[in-house]
Amino acid sequence: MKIVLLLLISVPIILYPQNEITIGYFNINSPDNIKKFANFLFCEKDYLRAIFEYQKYISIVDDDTSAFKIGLAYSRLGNFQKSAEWFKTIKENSKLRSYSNQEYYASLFRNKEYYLLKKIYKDEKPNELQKLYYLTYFFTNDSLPPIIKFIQSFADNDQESIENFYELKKNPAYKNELTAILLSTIIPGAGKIYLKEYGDGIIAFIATSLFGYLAYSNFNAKHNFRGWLFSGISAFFYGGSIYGSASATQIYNARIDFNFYSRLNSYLEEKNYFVPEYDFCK
Amino acid sequence: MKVWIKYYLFFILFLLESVKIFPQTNLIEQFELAKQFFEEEKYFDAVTEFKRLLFFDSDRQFTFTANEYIGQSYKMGGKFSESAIHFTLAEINAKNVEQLYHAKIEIIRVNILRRTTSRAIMLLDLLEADKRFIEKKNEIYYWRGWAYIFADQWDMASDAFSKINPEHELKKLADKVEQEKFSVTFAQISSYIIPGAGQIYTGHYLSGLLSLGWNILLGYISINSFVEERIFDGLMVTNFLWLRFYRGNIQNAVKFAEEENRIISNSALRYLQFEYKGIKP
Repeated sequence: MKIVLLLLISVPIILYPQNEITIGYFNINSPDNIKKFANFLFCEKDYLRAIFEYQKYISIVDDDTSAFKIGLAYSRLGNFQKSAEWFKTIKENSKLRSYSNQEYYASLFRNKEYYLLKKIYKDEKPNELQKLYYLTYFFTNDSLPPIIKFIQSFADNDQESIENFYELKKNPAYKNELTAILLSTIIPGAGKIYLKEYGDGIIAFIATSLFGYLAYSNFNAKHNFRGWLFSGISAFFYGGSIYGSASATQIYNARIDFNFYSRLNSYLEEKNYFVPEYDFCK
Repeated sequence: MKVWIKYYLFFILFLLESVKIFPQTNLIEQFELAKQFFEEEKYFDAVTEFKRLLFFDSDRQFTFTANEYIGQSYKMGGKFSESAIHFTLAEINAKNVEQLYHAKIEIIRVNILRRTTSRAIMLLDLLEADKRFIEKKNEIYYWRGWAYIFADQWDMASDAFSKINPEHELKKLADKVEQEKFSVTFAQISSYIIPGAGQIYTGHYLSGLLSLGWNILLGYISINSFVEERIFDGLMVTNFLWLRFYRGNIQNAVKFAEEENRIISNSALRYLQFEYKGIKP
């Protein structure tokens, strides 16, 4: 009888702690629950809160995956300095070490620390850094390495795009400011036409000539007031055409740079800066 | 034997009850902690703890309340889009009509604050048409008035508040603002008739007089050219100089009227923000 009773009592006691939800001491803030909640926040893209929770977790449990995720969270928040710091904390023997190295270099790259990347590559020659090392040349004024050497570190399907960017960096289609100024000085509006702003160029030419003619005509007819008035307007258009050509050249060249870097950055975003994509939220 | 079975069943029952009670106690404690952060205006921590509560609340007992608090916390932090998302979650999980109405109003208030006023007005229209909220008409008119204030439609705001009470404080304010505001159309048309008149109407006397002077001078030169039979000169001066100043004068008058109206509206909004004692979005 007593044995039956003992058995009956022990069954629920044995089963009782096996289901977390049934534990009388269910602790929301247990390390395991902190990690679960951190993972939930990470997958919800609430990265800042996820970072705090992971930090809370790794202050109790040493866990490289959580540290790696903190790095990723900072990276997704755009804080590349912090992300680099966290990726660097991943231990040598960790299975995530190779990934954290790649992420570390990508964070430095995205934080615009191109010269530091170049120095690391020259000193240590890490394989993961090769692509980013060459890409830094697009963002600095250092002379480009030979094209063959440049593109060989990229996969075949990336080589064409990289080659295009290489050409655009090497020979940007800039316009010369002095040429534009001289052209507009000789023929009003010609500088604008040189910059492919045909409408502006033609208007500048017509306005300067027209008011010049009106000034001439009025002086001839002894209408001096109107002569000076039209002279002033003509001079205004003439000066404007020269000044406009100079500033339009700067805008034109800035647009060339802007388009180049926009396209390059879009390409790098699309390629995830040549680091793998992780899906921790499956 | 039967007695033992009875005790055994009682023991099992006790365990099952504790299964429900212990986690629930934990969740209540968690709720209290989150609420305390909210009351201490630590909104970041409040959101974290309410989210933690939601994550562990498998029975979804706190879904409405926690989302409501998260919405409020985000709203206090100026994160209106996140706030709207959580109020919408609260709306979806409302357990009764009162909670549903409360969540809907909160969504409207967030839309007013983030100046998506057309959305707020559309939601108010739906709320007004819903027969479950027939007794809430005055409150709906109230928020409609606020939506129109934020849409800078003070006349419509006045109409909405007057439906609550013709002597409503906010109706009087809306009327005052509407009276103080300059008529953009009048400023424009007066500048068509007398250059500079629109600027003078909006209190920009120097600009008005300068505009008048330029138009008189260039009008004189243009007419003089025609009188002297220098038709081409006349056409050029009229087209490139006189009309440029004439058109500029009209645009200027409109710009000044709009700027002055913005100053008046902003002053009223400042009053509402810092001095008005009633409920605000």
